[in-house]
This record gives sequence, structure tokens and C-alpha cells, in this order.
Amino acid sequence: MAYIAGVDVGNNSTEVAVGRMDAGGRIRVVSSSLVRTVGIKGTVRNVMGIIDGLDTALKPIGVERRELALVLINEATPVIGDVAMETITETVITESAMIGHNPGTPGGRGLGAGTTIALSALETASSDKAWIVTVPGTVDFQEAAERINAAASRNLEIAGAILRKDDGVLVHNRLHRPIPIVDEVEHVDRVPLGMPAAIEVAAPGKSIEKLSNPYDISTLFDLDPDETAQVVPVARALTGTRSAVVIKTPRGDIRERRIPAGSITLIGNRRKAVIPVEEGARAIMDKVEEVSPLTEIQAEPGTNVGGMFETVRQVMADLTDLPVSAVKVQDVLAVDTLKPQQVQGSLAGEYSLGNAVALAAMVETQKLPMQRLARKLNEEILVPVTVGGVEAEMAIRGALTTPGTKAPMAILDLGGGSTDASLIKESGEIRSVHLAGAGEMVTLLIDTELGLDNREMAEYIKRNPLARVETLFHVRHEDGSVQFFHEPLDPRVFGRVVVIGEDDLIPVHTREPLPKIVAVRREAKKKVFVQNALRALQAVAPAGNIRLIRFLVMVGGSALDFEIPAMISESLIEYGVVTGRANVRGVEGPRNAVATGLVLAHAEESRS
Amino acid sequence: MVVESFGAEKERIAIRVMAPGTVPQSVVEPILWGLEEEGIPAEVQRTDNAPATHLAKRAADGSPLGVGIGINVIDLMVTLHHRDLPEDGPLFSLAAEDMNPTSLRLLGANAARLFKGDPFVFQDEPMTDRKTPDEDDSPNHGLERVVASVLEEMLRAQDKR
Repeated sequence: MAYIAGVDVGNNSTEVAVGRMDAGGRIRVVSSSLVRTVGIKGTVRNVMGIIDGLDTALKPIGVERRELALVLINEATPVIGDVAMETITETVITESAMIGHNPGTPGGRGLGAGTTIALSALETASSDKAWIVTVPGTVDFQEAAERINAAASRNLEIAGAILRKDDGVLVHNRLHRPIPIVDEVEHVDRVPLGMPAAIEVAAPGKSIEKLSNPYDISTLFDLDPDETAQVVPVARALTGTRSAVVIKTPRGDIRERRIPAGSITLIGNRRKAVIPVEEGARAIMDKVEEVSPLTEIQAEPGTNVGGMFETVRQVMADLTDLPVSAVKVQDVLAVDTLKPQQVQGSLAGEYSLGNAVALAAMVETQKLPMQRLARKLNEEILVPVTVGGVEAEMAIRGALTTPGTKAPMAILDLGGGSTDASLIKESGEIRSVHLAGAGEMVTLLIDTELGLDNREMAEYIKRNPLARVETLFHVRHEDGSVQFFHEPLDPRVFGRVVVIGEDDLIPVHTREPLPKIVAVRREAKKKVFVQNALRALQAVAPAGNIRLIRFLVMVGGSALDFEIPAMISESLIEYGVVTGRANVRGVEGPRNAVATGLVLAHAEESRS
Repeated sequence: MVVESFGAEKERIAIRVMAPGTVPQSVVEPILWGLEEEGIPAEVQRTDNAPATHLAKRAADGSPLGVGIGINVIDLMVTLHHRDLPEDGPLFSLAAEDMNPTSLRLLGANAARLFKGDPFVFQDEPMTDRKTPDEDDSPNHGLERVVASVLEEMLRAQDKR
């Protein structure tokens, strides 16, 4: 009887399977473990994690490390992926021309039009036209209301007010004649004075109607057709807000600018294509399909994507001791996304949604220096260590232990940096492919689209369902169910959208409502994983026909996600593939496939 | 439908503020402004002196909205309470040294937000989704002095007793 351990060092986790072989050469996996990978995959630092993993797996079965007959390490195909983003449009305001934002509590409602004037100038203002008053932060609401009332009693027509502070309702409640008031305008001092302006506040729960319509703006400001065409970005930026101000300045201009984002060059076996990134994800992916199989991809230096490409190459070069020039980027995944951007020249911190393209790249080389790692491990634990088995092959062997599967079967490995697929035919022949774009890209998309600027938070949102804290004692989960707490919840999460963590609630600091966050999260997962699942399966399927795959099992970290497997299953229904999460050896779920495969393959070899 | 009213405190649809008569208007007013800006009605009830927490709890229990604020003059506290919280576990309390027009108004706003189910605003927490007003352009320096002198007077009045 002998104990044999299979070890799978992954980018994030190290998995171990321990098998017990009887005298007849039959083997049974009796224990397993999952620990964090120490250091970059393929480096000698991994030894620490491996030893930890071995000990964790051996402890429950009461076996000492030195009793192991053999440790098997997988022959990893080193794949490194990374993601970057290029913004391709932005909104620029030259001279302040618009304020459109959602203060929590604006004052009054309706539409008012007039000429902008400082509160302090009201006393000497003429009564021949209507005025829109700007109130600086140094004036309190009582004084502001008194002065506006005094002006109105002198027959001045006050059509609206713009306040620095959150005083809209307080001022409004003290006016003799109601006017629309927009408050919390950060740079009220930058509002140009003596200019025609219009202000609109909608009733609670509604959004403005006039200032979001180009023709109403042209009516209010008497614009000619050319000018009307120019205010379209203004109207668009104001759509959906509860309050807004539009100011017509002589040279005022708002426009959407396209930012040159460089281009990428796709080099295939037979042809080559150059595509500018600003043409969008669809155009890029169409070209990728046209040119593939790809041998190399280059990005323009000086762009974000160019920088990311260089980083990926460099990391791989360091890892494998290859010259940087020998490392080729072999796949890209482009995804369109929206990026909230501060509007340049804004008055109240307004933002607009700029278009952006997220790109994931993947590099792959022949072999990682696993021999070096094996030697080091052998020195440390004094047990024979061998490197054996191609990763994809081992993964399939392990995945085939899922009850109810048989060849021809495909596995889809949903990782962090890349999406990998392999197919085993009835003949035992195995084909595999690595594609750019996986969990990390989903995180980037969530981070960008919600404007979080916090990868860690985006990661939490990706991994967990959301809820909203409705009272001090209960939350409503995103599916509508209610959870009660016996102790009052932390006031800092009250009223907020929260991520349901392991044993705490993590507040998400965004103004976006819960359904929007859920939509962004699901959309990001679909854009990356559903698209990549189809791409990967097409690449390995017999004759490129997904219908010819009978069984598909999902493995890897993202297969544990609470919604990704269901999304992929749904997208494959039309192909008639039996799709589901792997259950390695009927107990491990989507984990431990490679480690299990190593142990089983060794037993088979030693029998034959 | 039978509408029943319990106790002596009459029911008006409002957040209740309970304060002894000796508490000056300059402490109560900023709290009411905070509530007003958030659009939630408030009602001030003058009472005997008692610990702020106790007054706040009584105010919350008596308010049909379940939210109450208590102010006392003994150790100068302003407390925000909720009907469902135990008396000794109020939501927020402001001690005398932390009282200024901004913090009092914020407490009022948070009382309204507690009812509305909106996130609270914290002075110490510059939130990404809510800009805190610049402290330097605050018009409240004058008011702050007024409140400070009023507080001093209240303390003196209390010493005399």
C-alpha cells in the first residue's frame, strides 16, 4: 500500500489530492485540500503553498509527509492574462453651460427662465426681465429667502435660484411665491452672470421633461437649427435627472469628443489586420474571428492597452526566462463598456457616461520551469517528486470522475485570467484552447461601470448577492426576500445597498440603486463568460460545431460563482449540450480536477 | 378602523422632539431645519428635564413615525432614538462639545433619513456619493458663537439650581 499525492498549482489556489494504492495497483483518492498559492505560479516560492497543501490533506487521514511514496506536479501550461481599458468618448464643456444633477432635496418644482444674477446684485436689478438668482455658500437660507422675497415685493420677477448649499427646501418654504431651486451646486461661483438661463425641477419620483428635450431648449433660448443640433449632448446629459440648469453662454459649447485610443494589430497565420480600438468591441472581435488562428497581437505603445500588453509580456518573460520579444500575445477579448466620467468644466460634479472598450490579453508559452520547482520541493520534503501530465489532459481525467459523464466531453475552466476549454473524444484524443478574458475582466467592468474606483469592492460585488438595509433590523435581499436581525444593524449600512459578505454587510458607496448594480454585475459576467464559453467551445468542438459536444462540465474558481454557471447553461440550451458544474469524484464540486487526474493517471500508467 | 391613542402624548404624524423649556430655540432650530430640508414634519414638545436618552425614547415611542429626538439640560446631550431600539441603545448622541449648527442640523436630517430609509450622513465621512460642504465657506461661524454662548448660559443656569 502506498500513498501518492497529486498537486495542482494554479494562479490563485493550490489543490492537492492524496490517493491510496493497493497491492493490485488500484487507487482511491482518500483526501484532498485547497490552499492559497504562494508566489507566482511556476516559481520556487510555490513550495511553501504546496507543503501547506500536503499537510492539510494528510492530517485528516493520519499520514506523515515522509510516508508519501510520490508527489506529482502538473505540467502547467503557463497562461497569463491581464485587462485594461481605453476610454473612447468624453464630454467636454467649454465655458460653463449646464448643470444637471440629482441633489437629494431640490426646492420647488416646475420650469423657470431668466437671466443669471448674483443675490447681492438683486437690490439694484431692473424689473424689466426675469432673474435666476445664484446664492453663494456664505449666505444662509433665511437671508437668501428674505432677499428674494424683498426683491419680489419690489415687482422683480424671480424665476429660479441656484444654491451652493443643501438648502433648497428650506429657502423654498420661506418664499412668498414658489420658484424652482437647484441646490448643492459645488461651483456656484463659476456660473456666468448676465446670461440667459433656464432651471427645471421635477416632482419627487419624476425626472425633468423640458431641459432634456433639444426642442424645448431651442424654444427657451430661441436657437437656430445649427445651435439646436449643438445642444443635443446637453439634453442627453440631463436626461433622467430630477433637476437641471442650462445657461446659454456666447461661446459656450458642450460636445462629445472622440479620444484616439490607438490601434491593435492582429497577426494570423495567413493574414494581418489593423483595427483602431475606438471602433468598439464588436468591430475588434469580428476582425479577430476573421484573422484567427492568431499568432500574435500587438498594441500601440503609449496607450493603456499597449502598456498592459507590455506588462503581460514582461511578467511571462520573467517567469520563463524567455526574452520579452519571444513572448507573443495570442488572444484578446474586447468588451464595450460605459465609464462614468466627470464632465470637464462641470459646476456640480456632473458626470456623463463615456464609451470605453475593455481589453483582455493572454500570453501562453510552452512550459513553465516546473522541474526547478520539483527539485526544490524534493529537497524540502525528501519525497520523490515528478512533473507529469499535461494540465488539460489531467483536468479532463479528473472531470470525468463526475458521475453521469463520459467522452466525448468538454470541460470549461473558468479562471481569473483566462477561460480555457478542452475536449476529449471517444478515441481519447484531447484538444484544448486558452482564451483571454475571465474573472478579472468581470471585476474591471463592474469597477468601471459603477465608477467605484475600488477593485476590492468590485470583487465583492462580483462574488456576492446584494441586499438593501431597509430598517435598523432588516435587509431585503436582491431576490425580494427579507432577513431579520435581532441586534440593530450598524448605522453606517443603514439605507444602503450592501454586499452580503461571509458574516458581515459591506456597504456599497454609490448612488446607483440596487437593480442597476445587479444589472451591471450580470451584464459584465455575460459579456465575458458567455461570450468566451461560446468562443472556446467553438474552438475545440468537432468541426467547430458545439452541437457535437455531448457533455460539458465547468471547473475552476468562477464555476463556483452563484450565477455564472446558470448563465452559461442557459446560453447552451439551444445546442443541446448537457451542461453543469463538475462534481469531481462525486464530492469535490468543480475543484480538484487536475490533482485528481494526476493521481488517477499515475495509477493507470503503473498498472500498464 | 379604530384609531386608538395611548398615553398623554397626542399623536401627530411627525418626528417628535422632546426638550425641557430651558433648552433655547437656537439648539432646537437647526435640528428642525435638518428635518425640514429632508421634507419630514416635526413636532416639538416641551417637557420636564430628564436624561436625553430617556426623552428621545419617549419621543420615539410617542411618534407615529417611530423616530424621536431628546434634548436635556443636565449633561447637555442631544439624542436620536427609534421606537424599536432599547432605551439604553440610542442611534446617535451628540455631546455638548460636539454641538454646533452643522452637527445639530445633520442630526435632524438623519432623523428624517431614519424614517425615510435613506443612508445617514456622517460629518467625519467624506462619502463618494455625497459631497460634504466645504467647511471654510461655512456661514455658521456666527451661529456657532451664539450656540456656544447659549450652552454656557444653560450650564450656568443649571449650576445655580
